[in-house]
Amino acid sequence: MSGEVTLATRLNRTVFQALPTPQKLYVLIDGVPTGEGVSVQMPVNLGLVLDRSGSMAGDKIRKLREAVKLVLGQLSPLDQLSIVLFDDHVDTLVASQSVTNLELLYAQIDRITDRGGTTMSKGMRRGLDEMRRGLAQDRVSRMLLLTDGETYGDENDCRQLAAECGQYGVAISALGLGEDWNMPLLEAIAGQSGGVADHLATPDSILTEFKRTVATMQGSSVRNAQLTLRLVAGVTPAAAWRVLPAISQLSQRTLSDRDIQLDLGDLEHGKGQSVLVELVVQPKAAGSYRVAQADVMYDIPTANLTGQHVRQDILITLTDDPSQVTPFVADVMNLVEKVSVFKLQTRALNEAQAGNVSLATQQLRAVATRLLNLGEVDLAQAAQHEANNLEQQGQMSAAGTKKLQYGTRKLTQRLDDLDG
Amino acid sequence: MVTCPTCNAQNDPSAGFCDQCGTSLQGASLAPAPGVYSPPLNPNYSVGGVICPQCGAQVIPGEMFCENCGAALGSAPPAPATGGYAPPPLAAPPSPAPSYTPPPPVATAFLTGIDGQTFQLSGKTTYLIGRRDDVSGNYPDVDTSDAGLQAGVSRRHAELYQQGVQWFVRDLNSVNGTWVNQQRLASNGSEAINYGDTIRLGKWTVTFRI
Repeated sequence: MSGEVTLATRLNRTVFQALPTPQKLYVLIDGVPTGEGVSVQMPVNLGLVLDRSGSMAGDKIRKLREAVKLVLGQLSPLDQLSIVLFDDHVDTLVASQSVTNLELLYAQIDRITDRGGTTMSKGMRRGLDEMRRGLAQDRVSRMLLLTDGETYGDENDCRQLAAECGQYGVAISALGLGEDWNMPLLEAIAGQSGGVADHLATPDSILTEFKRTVATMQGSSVRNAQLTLRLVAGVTPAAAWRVLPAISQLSQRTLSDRDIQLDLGDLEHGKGQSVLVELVVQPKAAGSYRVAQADVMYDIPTANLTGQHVRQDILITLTDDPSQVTPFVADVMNLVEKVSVFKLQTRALNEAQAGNVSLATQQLRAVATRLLNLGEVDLAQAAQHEANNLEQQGQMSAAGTKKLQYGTRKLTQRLDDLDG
Repeated sequence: MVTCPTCNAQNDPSAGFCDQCGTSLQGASLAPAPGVYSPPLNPNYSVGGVICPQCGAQVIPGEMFCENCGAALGSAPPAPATGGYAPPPLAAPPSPAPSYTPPPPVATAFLTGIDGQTFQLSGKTTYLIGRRDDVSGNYPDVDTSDAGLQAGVSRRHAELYQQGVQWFVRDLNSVNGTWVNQQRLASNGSEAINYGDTIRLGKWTVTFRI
């Protein structure tokens, strides 16, 4: 069986000018599970590891309880759930179990209250131990780790635990609430476990994010997806970016001098992923060529399918006649532009961290201009504001840094996804 | 096996394109003219002569944005009828800042409607809000024509202006009135406005931001 994943490739033009120098072109590769066999709802093994330290008091803890109840409503008896609470102690609120007795679970959730300090590694340890009881080949496992502050003296333990989670196939969604959490640590935890980190600006966004994470897990019937690009001689990859569902740089594994491989992970039904690859093509005479073949390999555990393939040739046409060169393909270029803003923003934050204040300020101002061109007024103002902060105080604010870093990642998201 | 007409590599008979150089193996029309093809250069070939107009860094032809400073490099394509992509304009080069200077007053303001439409205001000290009227030659800076007519916005309804760092809105004796955060201004009256304030002209509502 095949055809569960639809693969489409588009270039930033359809006809390019044949140049005497190397030239760069951009390829957008969309891999979307669309077939009937992949629309089943995946059973999930969800581990909630939640910060209930004193700083969570008030609206945060109320919204958290609400969000956990919302998640319960999305789960079925086939799903496995565990809930661990941490402050400087750790409690197992719900030991790993199938979601059958909703009333009892609701009552347990009402017992989530704030207290104490923050020792996150204890929560992660207990959370992983619980989740290991729910691991199964055809279940999507994910730990939702929520915190609003710094953990005390156990950062290395957290990193090691994240790597251990990754080995068990438990990706961590590391969610930082408010502005006082440790961004490099949550990024490392997400990265080591194969998950993602995100910024929840307000307690209200806990609900949206929890709901979205569970929906994504349930839609991920296509797993372990890998994109291989087989390039012809004279074509080299410059960079590869995941652009949907959010922007991130993909690390390339070089299989041979002409093959590169990118790990995509899970593909959500109907949404999938889009990847933007920058290729440098050496001079060629006018004509039509294949510059690469895209090959996505994937598994569908619920249908007992492994190592399925879908392939697509990436063709270019070069012409000597400038009047034959076609205009840019608008939607591809739009994504190229958003990725370039993300790149520039990342560089600016790195320069600021390295103490190169003047360069970082200039780059942030350029980011602001480019964001305005994209109609991203809010983010543009944040970039401008942080440029001013840098210039006047020599450093950026924690809130602004988080807003920019996580906001530019989501530049490509469609509005209906944001609402979801 | 099929021999590639360009690089002479041997390919599987079912191959549509040469595995080695990508040349089409189907039909002569797509094959490049013999003798024109030059073998691939070293991938580390350094690009000469193409530089970013903003920062002077070397760039590869086809690159849309400078890797160094982020400047938009694409030249505008022939404008398609609809839905085309226009590259953003080149950002103004950053001015050198040898010593600290206090920031200038905020020179740019934004008005965002409830439908998300945003007007950017910069480069002037006073901005007219109203409806365009070609007959009388009235061309406001903030043209509400699309929605303004139904919402009761006058042709010359109100103006935004800046004194020092403070922004103000002034009603221009409008028929249906001007409000700031639910407070109606007197006819020809003005009111200081700050980030996040809501301005209503007739039934047309926008949020002010700097």
